[in-house]
Parts: sequence; structure tokens; C-alpha cells
Amino acid sequence: MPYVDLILFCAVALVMVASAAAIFFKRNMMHSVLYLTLVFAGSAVVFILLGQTLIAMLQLFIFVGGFSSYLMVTVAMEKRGSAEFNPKLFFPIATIISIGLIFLAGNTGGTLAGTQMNAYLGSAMRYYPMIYMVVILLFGALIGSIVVLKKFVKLVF
Amino acid sequence: MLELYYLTGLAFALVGIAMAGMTSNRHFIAMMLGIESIFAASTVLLISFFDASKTANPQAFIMLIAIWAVAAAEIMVMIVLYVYMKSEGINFDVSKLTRMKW
Repeated sequence: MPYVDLILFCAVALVMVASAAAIFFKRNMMHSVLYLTLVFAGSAVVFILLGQTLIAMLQLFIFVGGFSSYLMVTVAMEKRGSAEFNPKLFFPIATIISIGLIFLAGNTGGTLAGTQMNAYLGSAMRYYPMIYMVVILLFGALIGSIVVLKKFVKLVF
Repeated sequence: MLELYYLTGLAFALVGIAMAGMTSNRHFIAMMLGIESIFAASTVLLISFFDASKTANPQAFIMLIAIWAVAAAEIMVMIVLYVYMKSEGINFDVSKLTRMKW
């Protein structure tokens, strides 16, 4: 049964790509959030196929269970999209970018994989305090944005 | 066993679709959801490369948490901006967001 993983991966990948495209085609934002949830769930299935079950569970709990539910509750306030969407522009750009990036992956993926990846990230992760600082800065910006917006929005935070 | 090429192809296809959607769609929420799908693609790419390296590396988990933290902060900022725009009656078309200019 060597091809079961591959067949399952192809099915999940198709669902993920179709869901990512459907995010922009649906006029109801609630449906767009549902399709984004499907993308998150699909990535969790990919992690399971790779043998990373803990990360898959965390992805399901945090993104599918937490953030997507939060987004749905918030976005449910709006019924219809009010901005324009140009499908004629979508397909050419999606095709060009995807094919270009996949071609790039074919050329660079093999060289980056393997032990070199650990070496690259091993040297990069010497700077992990800076990564933590960026994360702290982001959360600071988040709290700042809520404080600033609280002056304008009549909400009960 | 999945080849790295398939996984990077999936991640890049997701990024391409999200970028195309963001350039062709003017709705604020749809654009932010596109950014979220790019974050999902980045997690797939990260785990794919570490799976291809064949060695257990805890640094991958640190980077993954960093990506999740940025995605979470982006979701929260999106919700705050959404509630603000909704309550102030601002149009969600980003080409008309003149009220949010400094």
C-alpha cells in the first residue's frame, strides 16, 4: 500500500487549493471563513500524513477550534460582501504565481532539504531572542491597537 | 512517503492563490483571510522541510510557535479593525478606505 499516502495527500491538497480559491469567490464572508477553516483542517491532515501528530492536534485545537470559531462569530455580523471582485484577474495571477513558485521549488527544494536545512536553521536560531522580541512587539501592537480603537468603538471589551 | 516536491508545490500553490485573491479582491476581510491562508501554507512548508531533514529538531517547534503567534496577532487585529469599520459604517472596499488615512 505505498500509494495510499500519496492518494490521500492529493485529495487533501485538492480540497485545500479549492478551498483557498473559494475564499475569494464567495460573497458571503461567513462562507469564506468556513473555507479558510477547511484550509487549516487540511494542513492538519497533511501534518498527520507526515507523522507530526502533535502539531496536527495543535493546529486543529488552536486554528480550527479557536481562531476559526472566533472569526465566524465576528464575521457573522455581515451578510453580504460589499466590495468588488474581478475573477478575470484572479486566474491568470494565480496560475503565473503558482507555476513560478512550484518551478522554483523544483530547483531549490532538493538542495535545501536534508542536513543542510538543519545547518541553516541552526545558525539562524542563534537569533531566537530576536524572534521572541518580534512576537512580543506584535502582541504589544495588538494591545495598542485595541486601546486606540476603544476610544472610537462603543464596545465592552 | 511524501516527496518534498509535492508539499512545497502545495504550499506555493496556496500562496499563489492567496496572492492572486488579494490582488483581485477589494474586500478587506477577504484580503485578511488570504493572509491567513498564506500563514497556513508557511506552516506546511516549515514542517515539510523539517520532515525532509529526517532528524528531530526542536527548533522547528519554536519557529512554528512564532508563525502561529504572528497569525494569531493578525487575526485579532483583523477582528478589531472589522468591528471598528462595522460600527463606524466604513466601507469594506479597501480602495475607499479614505477615512482611515492619517
